[in-house]
Amino acid sequence: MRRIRENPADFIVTSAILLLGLVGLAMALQFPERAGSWPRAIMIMLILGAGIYMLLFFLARPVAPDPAAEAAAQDEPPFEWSRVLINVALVTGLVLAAPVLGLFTSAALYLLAHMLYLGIRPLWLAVLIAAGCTLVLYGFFGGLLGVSISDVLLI
Amino acid sequence: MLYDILQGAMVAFQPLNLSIALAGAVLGILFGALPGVSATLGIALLVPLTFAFQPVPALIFIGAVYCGAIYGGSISAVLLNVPGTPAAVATMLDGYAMTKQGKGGTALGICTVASLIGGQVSVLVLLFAAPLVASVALEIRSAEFFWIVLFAMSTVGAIGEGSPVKGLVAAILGLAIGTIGAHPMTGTIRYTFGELALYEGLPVVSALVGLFSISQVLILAEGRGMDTQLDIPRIGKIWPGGGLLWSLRKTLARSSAIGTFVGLIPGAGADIASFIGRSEARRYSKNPEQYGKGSPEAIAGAEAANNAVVGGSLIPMLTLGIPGNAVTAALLGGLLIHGLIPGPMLFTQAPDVLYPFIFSLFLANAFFAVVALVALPWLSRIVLVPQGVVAPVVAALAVIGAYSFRSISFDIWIMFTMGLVGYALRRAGYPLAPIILGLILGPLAEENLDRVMTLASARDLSLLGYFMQRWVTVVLMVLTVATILYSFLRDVKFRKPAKAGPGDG
Repeated sequence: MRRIRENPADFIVTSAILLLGLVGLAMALQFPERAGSWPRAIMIMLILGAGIYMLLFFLARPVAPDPAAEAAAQDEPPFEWSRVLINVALVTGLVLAAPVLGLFTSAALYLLAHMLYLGIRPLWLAVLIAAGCTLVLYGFFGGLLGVSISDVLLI
Repeated sequence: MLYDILQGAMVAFQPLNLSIALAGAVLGILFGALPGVSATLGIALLVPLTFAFQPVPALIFIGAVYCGAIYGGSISAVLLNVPGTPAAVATMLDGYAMTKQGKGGTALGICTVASLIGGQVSVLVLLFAAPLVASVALEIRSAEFFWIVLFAMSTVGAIGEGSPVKGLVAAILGLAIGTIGAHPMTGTIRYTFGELALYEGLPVVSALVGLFSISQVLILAEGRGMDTQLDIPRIGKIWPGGGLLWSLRKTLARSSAIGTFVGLIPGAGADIASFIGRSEARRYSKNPEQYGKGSPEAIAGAEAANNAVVGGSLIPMLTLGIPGNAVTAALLGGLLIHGLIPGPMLFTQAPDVLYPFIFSLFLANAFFAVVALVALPWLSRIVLVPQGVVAPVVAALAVIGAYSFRSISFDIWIMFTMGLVGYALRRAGYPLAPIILGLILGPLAEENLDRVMTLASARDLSLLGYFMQRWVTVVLMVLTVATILYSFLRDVKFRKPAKAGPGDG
């Protein structure tokens, strides 16, 4: 349990990979013969690899503390999950808004919102940067490159 | 071949292609100089911009960005003690020390010339060695190719940063993601969950953009240093002087060779090359005690090596279709979207695309050097752009770029999902480069394996029996297994015993 408390991200992600391998293998066993044996082989390798790392995680002797790394870590501000979730939510908002509001409109709104959240001030500067970047992106992708924009993802 | 080379040079020198090479070099410098925006991220973001280009200008643009970005990382490393790319960490050790001594301009000048020389040497090697390797590669059979891919994946996992076992797991994860879609021969659908957009597998460009861009946005936006407005010291004279450069000639030659060779090895990128170049420079130095205190020799050793990786890394990518690192994987993605399949046949089927691309690398190296020597006092101010601006702009560019590939909104979701996966993996210390390599190489490996299984079945041999028929295949099998075992042992060995506490037995 101490190892999990010290490295929660390591444990969670490795467990997720292990679970992915198990689910993937279960699905691969249901595939018809014509799907080939490669997916089964890869999922078995994934389970073995993640499983071995999990064993190392729990059973191996811990790495000796690095004084320099510990000192550097103490200087950094503490990790905030709430900040990560808000950042993810903002980018999710962009992805969800694109088909509804249009690719470039949603990009402009997203740029403004995220820059303001990340502390860019004053407001007029954030608006200017958001508008300017969106214009450049639209001019380049939509205008210069002639990338087709579907009826759904309008301006 | 001589005719192809001359034709390639003529095409590369066309005004449009020259302009594109210049634009790519400048953009590459800017991307590389921005802390938090690596060469890989820069190329991943800019590949979608090339969709509407013709193949030749597209490759010239991406190649120029590659050359410029590897160099650009040294700018923030020298001026701010913050590497713009991982490859600039070795440069930072002495570059920033020189800045504190008021010699930042000289340090940047050494970086510029060293990067130019390293880059040109490696492209020269690429120009003449790649066709030779390609002609040998034509003899490679399916069984050997299958094991070359597995060996490359095991090496990428083992040599990369962090835990070797995590690197291997990341490589296997990439291979697993590569199984999504239709079987390459029978067309049987796997892991698509009924989504038509996944029929051809996960689009490499969307995965690449998401994995590197969105994950980096989330890392940048974690809140460290968001409000900090740094200033850069006055740069002063950039040209280091002929005398100093002449005194560095052996270091430059040695590091150029080191970087070119390191670039050939899958998994060993510009960051590894720069450290090896620097440490070898120190070994032969008459003043090793100056290293870490502002040694021009150290800077030259690191920078020549890291730019020399460009040409070296392109050799296996162009001749075998095996990218050795994330940057060449992004370049390979750029080739694929323009209908060019890297491999031994590329040199015979598309010399009119390949040789202009190789020549353009010479031009890109020259352009970034000229631009840097002339405009660095102004260009360097790019490092002052706050990360609170960089992160959202990268995200917006990633979303638009992912959509512009196939004009399918589902690609945006693929990009975003891969971005979240990439962020989680990075937080847990898993490298991302093996994943994108697995995604690209997995279908290739499966295709060759299926071919081998068919041949083995026709000859009434087991799979292992078929592999054991040629000594080359046996050697590759042994090397792959040895690399995997070495990874496990290295991971275990790194875990040194902790100090004994009162509760320990």
